[in-house]
Parts: sequence; C-alpha cells; structure tokens
Amino acid sequence: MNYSFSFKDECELEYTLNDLGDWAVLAFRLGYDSFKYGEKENRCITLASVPTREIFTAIVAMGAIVADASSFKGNGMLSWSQFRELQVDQAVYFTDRTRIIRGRLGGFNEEYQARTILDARSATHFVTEGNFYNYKIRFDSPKSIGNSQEDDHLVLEFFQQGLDLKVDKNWLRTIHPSISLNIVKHNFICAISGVGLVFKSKTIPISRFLSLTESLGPGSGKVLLKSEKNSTIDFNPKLAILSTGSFERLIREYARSDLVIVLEHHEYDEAVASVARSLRLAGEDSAVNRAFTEKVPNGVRLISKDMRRAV
Amino acid sequence: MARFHHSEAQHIHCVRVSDPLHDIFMQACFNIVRLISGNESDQINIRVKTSGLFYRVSSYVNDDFGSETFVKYVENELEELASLASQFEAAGNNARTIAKTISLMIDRGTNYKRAAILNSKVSSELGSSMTLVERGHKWRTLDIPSKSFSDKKWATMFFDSRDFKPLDRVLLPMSPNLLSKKLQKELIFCAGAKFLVIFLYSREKLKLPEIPLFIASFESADSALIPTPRITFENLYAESNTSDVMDDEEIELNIDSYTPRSHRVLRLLLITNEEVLLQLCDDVWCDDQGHLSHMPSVELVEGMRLLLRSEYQLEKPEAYLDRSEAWRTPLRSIVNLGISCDLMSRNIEHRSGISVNSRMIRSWIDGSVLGPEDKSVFFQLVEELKLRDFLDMSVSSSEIQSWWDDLERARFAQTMKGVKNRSEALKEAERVLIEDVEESSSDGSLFEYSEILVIERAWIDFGQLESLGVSNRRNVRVFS
Repeated sequence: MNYSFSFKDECELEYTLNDLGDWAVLAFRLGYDSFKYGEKENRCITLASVPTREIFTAIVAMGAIVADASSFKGNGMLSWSQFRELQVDQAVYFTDRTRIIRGRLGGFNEEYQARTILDARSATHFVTEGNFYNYKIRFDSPKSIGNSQEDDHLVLEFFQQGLDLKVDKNWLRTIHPSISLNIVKHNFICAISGVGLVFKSKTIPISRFLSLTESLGPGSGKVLLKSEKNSTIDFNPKLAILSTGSFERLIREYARSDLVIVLEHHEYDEAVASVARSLRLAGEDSAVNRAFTEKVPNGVRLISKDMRRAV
Repeated sequence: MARFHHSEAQHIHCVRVSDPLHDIFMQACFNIVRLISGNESDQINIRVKTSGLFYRVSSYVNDDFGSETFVKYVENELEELASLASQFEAAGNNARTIAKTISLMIDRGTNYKRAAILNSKVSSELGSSMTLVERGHKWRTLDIPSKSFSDKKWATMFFDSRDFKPLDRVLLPMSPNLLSKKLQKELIFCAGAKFLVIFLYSREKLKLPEIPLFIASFESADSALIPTPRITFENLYAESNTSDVMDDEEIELNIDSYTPRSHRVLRLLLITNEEVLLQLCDDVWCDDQGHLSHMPSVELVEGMRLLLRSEYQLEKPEAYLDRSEAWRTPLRSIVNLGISCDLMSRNIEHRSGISVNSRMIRSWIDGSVLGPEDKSVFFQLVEELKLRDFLDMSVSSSEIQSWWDDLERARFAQTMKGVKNRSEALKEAERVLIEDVEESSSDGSLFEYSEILVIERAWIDFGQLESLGVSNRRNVRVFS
C-alpha cells in the first residue's frame, strides 16, 4: 500500500507515518492485519503496552478501517429482507428521483408487497423489492456534519489519493459497524480532536474518517465507540479494540472477535503478565508479531498470537 | 506523540547532598522504625508518625526551614511523636534526637537540599527550561501555602496537577519511588520526562518504581517494560560539619504505610466471616432508601452495612413470594376477614407514629410489591399481625429479622449485579482467550451473597492484594 497522506496536528505541523516513528507504522499495521485476519477457526489476539494510548489507538482503528474498506465486497449492505424487518417509525433518507428526502418507515403493505415510507409532506412512498435499490435507503442525514455528501466524497478521495485504494462507494452505506472500540471516550475524543489527515492539500478530521458512533442504530458509523467498562453489546464486531486497563471485564463479550488490547505501561502489572504468559503458551505468533520481532519500535511492547476462536 | 520519542532510556542524574544533621535525623528515624515492630495500633502509629516526619522534612525545599508553616508543622509533629514515644523505652532517645536535629537545622538557617537545587552546576546549565516537582506526594510532602520557586521562573508540578505534557527536564527533591502513582506514571512509565535530576541527601536511597517484565512471544525476548534508565551521580558536600557523620551507608525506611507496595483500602467483613478489600478508587452504587447514586469507596465509613450479590445470583420474584408467605398469608387473612388496610394503616400510625399508606399494604398482600422498603415499617406491620393474633406472639425477633433480610436480598436480586474478585476476573479472561468457549460461567463467586460491614480503612501490603475485591459500580447497596 502506498501512503501519500500525513497527519496534521493542532499546530498545523504535518507528519507522515514514518515521520511519527515505527510505533505509528506498527499501530497502523496492527489494525490493518488484525481486521484482515481471515481464519475461521482462529482469531488474532494482540496485547500491546504503550506510553500513551489515545493516538496509538486512533491509528490502530484507522488501519482497521482501511482494511474494512479495502476488503468490502458488498457485504453489510441493507438487504430487502432486512429493510422489511426494520422498526416502524425508523427515520430513513431515500432518493426520490433526483432528491434525497427524509421520511419515517411505515408498515408493510401486503396488497402491494411494499414497505411504506411517509415523508415530511405526508406523502406515502411504496418501496417494493423490485425498486428497493433505486431508493438508496440510508440512515444518516446527507446534511449532518456540514455537508455529509461532500464528506463522503472526501473519504473516498482520501482512499484514492492518500492510500492508492479504490473503494466501492457502497462501503459507506453498510449498516452496522464492524469495529468496536472501548476507551475512556472523553480522553480519546479530546486527544484526536485536533488531528487531521492531509492529502493533496485537502484535510479530513481523523474522527470523521473513523466515522465514530455511539449508537447501534443502522448506518450510524463504522467504529462503535464505547466507554472503557461498558461491555454490553448485541453483535459480534470483526475487530474489538479494548484500549483500557479494565480489559478483563470486557473479554467475554468479544469471544468471537479478533482482539487488540492496548494498555499504558503503568497498567501492566503481574496480573496482566499472567494473561500474557497464558497467551504465549497457547498460540502461534501472528503475522504482526513476526513482522516486528526483529525491531521493536521505541516505547511499544507487543505480544500477538493466533488463538482458537469460540464457535 | 512526544512520549513515544521520549521512550528511549531515560537519563537520571542523582545529586547527593551532604548534610550531617540530616544524617543523624535519618538514623534516629530509622532506629524507631526498626525497633518498634508489631501490629498493635500504637506501634503502627509511631512508625507512621516517624516516617511521615522523615519524608516531609527530607523532601522540603521550599525555604531554609525558617517559615512559619514549617516550624508550626514540626512543633506539632514533635509533640505527638514525643507522646507516642513515651510508651516505648526504645523510642524515647531517638525521638529526642529527632527533635534536637530538626531544631538545629532550623537554627542553622540553611536548607542544603534547597541550596543545591538553586546553585548546583546542573541547575545553572539547564536554566529556566526545567520543571520542579514541588510536591510529589500528598502525604509524603508538606502542604505549602504558596509557591516558593516562582522567582526562578521555573515551571512547577504537583502531585495533583491535571495537565501533563511531556517535558525535557524535571527536578525532583525526592526519590522516584516515593512520588504519587500519578507522577510515577507520568514521569517514569509514560515517558513524560526525558531527563530527571534528583536531589537526595547523602543517605537517602535512590529507588525507582518497580519496572515489571514484559512477557513477549518467547521467553528469551522477555525484557523490562520500559528501557532501564541511565543513571549518573554527583556529590555535593556541606561547607562545615557540625557533628560526627555516621557511616556512609544508605538507609531506606521501610514502613508499611508508606512503602510503594502498600495500599490504602477499605476492609470489609462479609457475613460469612470472610474479608473483602476494596481499593478506595473503586466505585460503588449506593442505594439509600431506593435512591441510586454513584459513590467512590473512599466515601464509605466504618459502620456502614453493604449488601453484595454475585453476578449470577438472579432470582425471580415468584421464588421470593413463595418464601414470604410466612407473613404474607396472615396479612391476606386479616384483609379477607374484613379488617381494612385503612384501619391497619391508622393503627400502625397511632401506635408507632410511622405512617404506612393503605394502598401499599394492599400491594404487599397480592405481591405486586415485594414488601416494605423501610425496615421499621416492616417490623410494625408484623407487630400489627401479632397484636391481632394472626401471627404467633412467640415468633422471635431474630426470625422477623431473617424475613426482613430475605426481603432485602430479594429486592436486590432482581437485576444483574455482582462483584468479582479481580484475580478471578483475570483468570476468567485468560480462560476465555485460551479456551474454545463463547461464554464462561462462573463457578460461584467468592461473594455469593453477603451482607458486609465496613470495618475500617487500612493499609495492606502487596501480598494481601491477591484478595482484593474489585467492585462493579452497580453492585453494592448501602444500608445505614
């Protein structure tokens, strides 16, 4: 992959991944490889200890997002059967001729075999299986965060020009996040608030690129952001990033996900070392581990293993 | 990002400051701590008092010991120390030595450690780009009313400072292992300082926080979690000796209360006679008469009762309702025989002054509400049943108490709550990671169901941490 982008901080200084250091390259690679990990019977579990977690975690999440986008094959889109099952009153945006308009879902009309949508003018639209894809149903407002359509183009441009990746625009419309992130939300959002991704004289805030969401509602985002101790989850993300010293409370909820556990050095104690010893004995080295065994980046300690995945 | 760049080996430069009076002072403190061992409260108190005095005097660099703050603090502490020492023959002479040396240090009018910080070669080389840690720990340093180094244009840092940015150079007047956990985290573990200059008296021991071994993919790759710092030394001597200098051996005061390995916890006694230890930073939810509010453990005081239930102790209301027929059936019978809930409510109020809503009484009969929320209401209700001969007068108060306890547990058992011992939680985490299980079921927590009494706040050592209970903040109710 070619990296033609850089990070920009609050002081408007720019750094490429290599400028930041090997730790940043490792973080990106960790997120990317962990998401890409495709063994059905095994999963990739990484425990990393770093001096400070927020920006490291953001780059891990970024790597995972890039992996998600680059491996998109139409999965995760809203299907007709899923659309039929959505709750009544769910807010949706849909394309009517050339306009995107907002409406609320009504019930299923048996006579026409169609799901109804009521728009703001109380007009009823009938969505059938035959014309379902023409409506381009989405759940996020095209007018949120400035002009979201422009944001979408910017994200796709970033993939194209910053990473030399052509990403299907339908990836932006997948309905559920495939990455979850447990972290102290306030600290994380503050830490990344001034950070942007720069490519070809354009900038996109990293938070926008990560498409963070705290809602499980359809189409709400790509990375589900949860607090450091909240384990309640009713779906299996492909990758769970547990960036918290209390990771042991969350492990059970993510028994089928690939895991990246990020600790700060002061959180690494004998009890965590015991978990690491068990990992060492029970799994094979993962690709990330093998890639960074020879030269461990400054400040980062990492153990990454392939382990059996819960059925 | 700077923290990653700082993650190469930290440079620590230790400046040893010679002060013969401090040597004697330190020896006397050490003698008391060494000679008065044991876990009786008086023995612990004198050790705590001595070590506190030692740490605060040794880290004091704010003036030449002549300020009102320092003199007043010392007077109070020495008075208390003398009083404690009078109980122990071995401590009396040493306490007098401590008082004498501190008095001489004050009269001398020079704080050698402060002078070293202001005038040493390294300070002048580094100039104003330094940050001084003026108070590195809440209890091990003296509370100072105002900054004393502002004229030097140095930045200063305290144990409770909020914003930490990575720094190039930091000055410490105490050993790093004595800093607060937060400062240890910022300055040592999280690469917050590239260069540490530490000023210690000649017999103070330079000690770093314990750096754990990072467990890597294979054993030969295991290494220290952070690079071992590069340490250099410099000696500064006093201009004159006022008394004989003891030998040069470094001394470390090893006090239970203030060693890095000791922790302040709440000691709780379970109804099963087992002990639970909660860290003061743990969170608990307090339910006082039905109101939930978040409370850190530090606010729990001795004498409070807590009710604790394991995560898997779930009970459906029906199970409790069956058990509670002992008092519910007589209540139902009264009403069936024509005595109204209104009349019962009035009788209870007339007899005891406690008001009970008649609609609530009806709800307890049919089980739509499990029972009274208030203990005194429940007891008065049962009293009413006894007075009307619907309950045997011989029913003992302990049996009624057991009905009440059962009701409280039942109410508490309706939602998912629980406490897990931290080591058990980690073991379970290991099991989930290693074994082919989607969900692990608990074999039964250490705290199946317990009533807990807050006994005391205590200091414990590292070995006792194995039994530390980690509270899930939704788990604990307080009944005062």
